[in-house]
Amino acid sequence: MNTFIMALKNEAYHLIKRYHLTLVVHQPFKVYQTQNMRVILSGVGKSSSYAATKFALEDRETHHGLWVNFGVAGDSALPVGSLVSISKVTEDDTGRSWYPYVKQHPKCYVKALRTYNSPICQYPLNSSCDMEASGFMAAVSEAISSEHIHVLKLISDNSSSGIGNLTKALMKQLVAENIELINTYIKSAEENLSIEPKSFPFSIEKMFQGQHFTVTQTHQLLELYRSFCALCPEEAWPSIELNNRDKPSDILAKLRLQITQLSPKL
Amino acid sequence: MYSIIYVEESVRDMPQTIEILNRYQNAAIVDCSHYGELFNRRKQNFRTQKKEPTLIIARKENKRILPIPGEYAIDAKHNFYFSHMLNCLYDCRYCFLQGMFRSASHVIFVNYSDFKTDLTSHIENTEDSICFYSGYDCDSLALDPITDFTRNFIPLFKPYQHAFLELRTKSTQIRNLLTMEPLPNIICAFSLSPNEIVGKYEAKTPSLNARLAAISSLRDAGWNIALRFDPIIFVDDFYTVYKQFFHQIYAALGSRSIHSITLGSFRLPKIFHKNMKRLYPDEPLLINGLSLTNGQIAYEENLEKKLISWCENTLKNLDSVTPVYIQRSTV
Ligand code: SF4
Repeated sequence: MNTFIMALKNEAYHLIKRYHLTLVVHQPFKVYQTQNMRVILSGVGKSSSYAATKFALEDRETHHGLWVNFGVAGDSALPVGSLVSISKVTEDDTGRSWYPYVKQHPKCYVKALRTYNSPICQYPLNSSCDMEASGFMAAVSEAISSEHIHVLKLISDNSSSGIGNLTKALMKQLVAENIELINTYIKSAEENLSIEPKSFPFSIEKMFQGQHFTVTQTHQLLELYRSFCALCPEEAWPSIELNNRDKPSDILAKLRLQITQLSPKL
Repeated sequence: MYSIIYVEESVRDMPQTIEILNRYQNAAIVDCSHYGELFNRRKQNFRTQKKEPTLIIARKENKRILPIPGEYAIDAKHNFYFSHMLNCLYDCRYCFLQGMFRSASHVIFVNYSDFKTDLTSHIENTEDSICFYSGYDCDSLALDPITDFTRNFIPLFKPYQHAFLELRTKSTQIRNLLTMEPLPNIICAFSLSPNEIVGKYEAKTPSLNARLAAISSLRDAGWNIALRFDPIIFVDDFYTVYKQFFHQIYAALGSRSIHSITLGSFRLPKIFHKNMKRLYPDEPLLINGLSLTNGQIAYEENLEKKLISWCENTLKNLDSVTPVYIQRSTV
């Protein structure tokens, strides 16, 4: 499940449409979702972005996907409509910096960004500028592995256009024009992650139906399952005796014992 | 090779940095204030990053020369290591760097003159033999065309007969060395494994034959060669595989002298093993057949002794002259 934290409905409109997302949560933040993707509308400003990201992080099932702060940004020189993969986010008032993951793409710029507390008239020289990214980075960096974190910005205004010309309609139009490029970027960022299987085959899922494994226990179960598959590629599951009274911790202990008794084939 | 390069502001204008950046004209350059901001972040995944490592160019502020872990020494009185780089181009499944570092980014410390000042002061502080190991946190030669490590550091050892430098490598990047005057106190130490192990556990490294060819060229040019059989891995059919391997090496290298041989079986500090197992739960090499031995995760003690003494005897039968050093598990 990929998570997009975005400030405004107008920025999100074409993503919601493209991925057929439906509104599933109204409060405290609007969440649009399908099985593989969700967009959370934070509202404007870094504090809102921080709060919305913290809220989104409560669902630990989503931590394996991409976490993207997407929205419009200003830049002194880049043309309006440019898509930028942000390499460094600096919070203007504190000077704190974070480094989102960057995926190089031939049609996508790579640039640093400064997050300001309010709209600015004078564009910074060497970075793009916005009002949300530092809030997102401050929250997400604590919880999510760095390779999953991206800040993706669409340039909506620059020194020649000025911020005065930025309308809701223009925001929508810019996203619409770039939607396939955004999609390609996300697909290639996802490729970087796809190492670990995140779910069990159906037969294994069925075996543990009715048991309540915590997120950590599920993770441990997956690791043990992967170890078992590596050691006994021909077999589906270790022959351990389970009974009705076994709790998840007992199941894990039995599995661990069984697996340590196997000899690796090197 | 690198599409993103992070550069510490303090080294941005150093000639070494500029030279490296010139090689990667298409890379995105990102300023950072300290490499640790990226390299030491708490939440990152070594395995994922290894697919497409980034480069960080940085300054090593202090602790540039460190005493070596006990087991690593050979025959010098004083033994130190230093790292002009962190991490490696290659992807050996048993490599302890995967368990030691959080990030798979390659870090190059370009303040060579600081390293050289420290090396000189260590060397001049003693009249006893002193050895420096450069391949502890990286492969000494794998990135030599980019770092120019050999050209920068080897000449420093020329006036000091009591000071030695060991280059530890699996690489065939020997072009710089072949253009330099060979020095008797530089040891080109090649890590070698049987082809079966190279194919299975040493991803992206040169083949055994390519390494043997590099060794021959260096020896013909007059460089000191050492052989490192570490880690010895207890594969199926171990005795056949390793017997054939040792014979292959001596058939290729002939009888000319070798500086030294070291032998060590597969072992890892407990915490590194734990981290690596978390990264690779599906890697049989890391899963079973190991136990806590002398504070390290290693083969069970009797097995380890048996493997090592068999290797030692086999090697001594092939070569009774070269000294063989055993590197055992220590805490
Ligand atoms: S060559 Fe050495 S440093 Fe590089 S991955 Fe292999 S073991 Fe690690």
